[in-house]
Amino acid sequence: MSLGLTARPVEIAELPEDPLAFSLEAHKRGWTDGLPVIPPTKARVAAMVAASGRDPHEVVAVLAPRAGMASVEVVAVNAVMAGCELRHFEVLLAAVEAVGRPEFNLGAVNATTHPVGMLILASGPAARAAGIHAGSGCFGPGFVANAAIGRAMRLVQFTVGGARPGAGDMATFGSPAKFSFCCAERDDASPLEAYHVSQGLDPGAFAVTVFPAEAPANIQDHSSTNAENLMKTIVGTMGHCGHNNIVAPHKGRPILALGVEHAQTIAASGWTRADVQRYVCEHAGYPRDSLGAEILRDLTPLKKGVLPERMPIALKPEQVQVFVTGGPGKHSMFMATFGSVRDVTVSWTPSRAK
Amino acid sequence: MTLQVLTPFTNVFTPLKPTAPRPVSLDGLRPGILENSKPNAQLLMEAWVEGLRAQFDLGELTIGHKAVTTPPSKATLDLLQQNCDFVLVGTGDCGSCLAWTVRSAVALEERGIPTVCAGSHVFEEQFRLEAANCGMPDVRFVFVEHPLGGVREAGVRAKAAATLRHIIEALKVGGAVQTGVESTWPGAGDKASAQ
Repeated sequence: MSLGLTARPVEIAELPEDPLAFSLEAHKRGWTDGLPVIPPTKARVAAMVAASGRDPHEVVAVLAPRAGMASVEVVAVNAVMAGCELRHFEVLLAAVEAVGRPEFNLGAVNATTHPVGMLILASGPAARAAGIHAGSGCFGPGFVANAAIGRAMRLVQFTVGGARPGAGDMATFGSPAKFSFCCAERDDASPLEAYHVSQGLDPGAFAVTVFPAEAPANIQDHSSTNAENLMKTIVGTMGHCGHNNIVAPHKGRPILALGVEHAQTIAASGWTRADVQRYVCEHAGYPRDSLGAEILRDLTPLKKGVLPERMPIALKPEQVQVFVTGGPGKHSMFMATFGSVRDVTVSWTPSRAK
Repeated sequence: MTLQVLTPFTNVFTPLKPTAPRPVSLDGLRPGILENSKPNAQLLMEAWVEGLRAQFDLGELTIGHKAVTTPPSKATLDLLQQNCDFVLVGTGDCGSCLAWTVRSAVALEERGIPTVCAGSHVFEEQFRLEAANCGMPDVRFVFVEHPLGGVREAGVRAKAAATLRHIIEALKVGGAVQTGVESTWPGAGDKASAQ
């Protein structure tokens, strides 16, 4: 979706040719996340732009806090620096567009003291075209597409959005999930319909979703043989206190990334995605009486006059986001999300089909 | 040997906006509070209003509410615009609440309401950055000593008393006005040419 804005061309700079000297100088100028980068030469950037089939100066998003205009060209510069291949670029552009949408609330996500990353989930044909990994180790490290696309998103926040640690990004601790956070769904083995289909898109649509997500917390259960038993373990992890979905259960969108084996156990019991969402909504939460009086006073449900015995992580089942990814093993992952924001799914027509 | 590369910065999309005209005196003015539900936010700002009332002949107080990390509703902005001659908004004692404290103040200033943002002092630089990013670098702030959360009522009232004179300065003509914000990231100089 075009915003109808045009950015000015990026400027040219002279940096040392030596790889280490180049990266150190780039870092000194505020271009990097601290790791070495690929020099964004004119030819490399032009090739990246051409891969999208879009005007280099078209603005795909205006990024807070700096209100930086994310043109196709400047996103390409960051993509080159992060190590993206040409086939990754359209996923990145769509993801940048997603975080620029008002409902993502980037002004809060980038500024917050909360350690919130940007989980990029590619689905279906988009994931395959870009070569985004969904099996063992999908949250990294070890896969170029996952690492480079996620990293490029963070570089864009640094350079275009102006969200730099301590100035624009006030995360108290930061997070490993802020370096790079990108994976694909296991649509080859998932008993659930693809995530983008659950968001109303056709199965063949090119789509990507970006979630304002904390680093994942593991959920290990090698014992349960049916959905109800397994879900007890899962909601036990999801209901721990201190995360933002308990602080703001009326608006958060907590994420459950089911491992394939856990998803198959749940499906074998006849449970659907909606059943999982409902169970999480009804059972995940922290016992009220285990919390101190001062935080209880400030938690959102109490302010509305409600005094539940369990401080929930979501008030409606549809707030709970569920998808399937990962390799063999009886593990799933929970990711708390930032408060009053929501994940955004963007679909597009690939340039080769235009 | 050098290499020619493209820089990863573009221009910004933020027209510069002036703040609302300031009153000469606070006498006869109606105060407002826009609180964002952060711990002790409402208490701090009510304490400031009580302190102002001891010095000035203020009208009725109107309190609007908003969530921590989202903008106030149009109805809340309308309520404050109709009933207030100045508004205190806060608090910003973390990154996201701060961001929407500044944006809420900008929205009120654009409606012609003199506004002061309340925050804690460790986030002063971020306040100034957000104000510049919103195109209103002259929006007023008053900072109390960090922290605000996890502080008992007496402590909050002491912070309010210690900073009341800054609230007065920020509301009245001749008060401290920020005239610019030092750039803290490369490319921020783009702002001047982005209009």
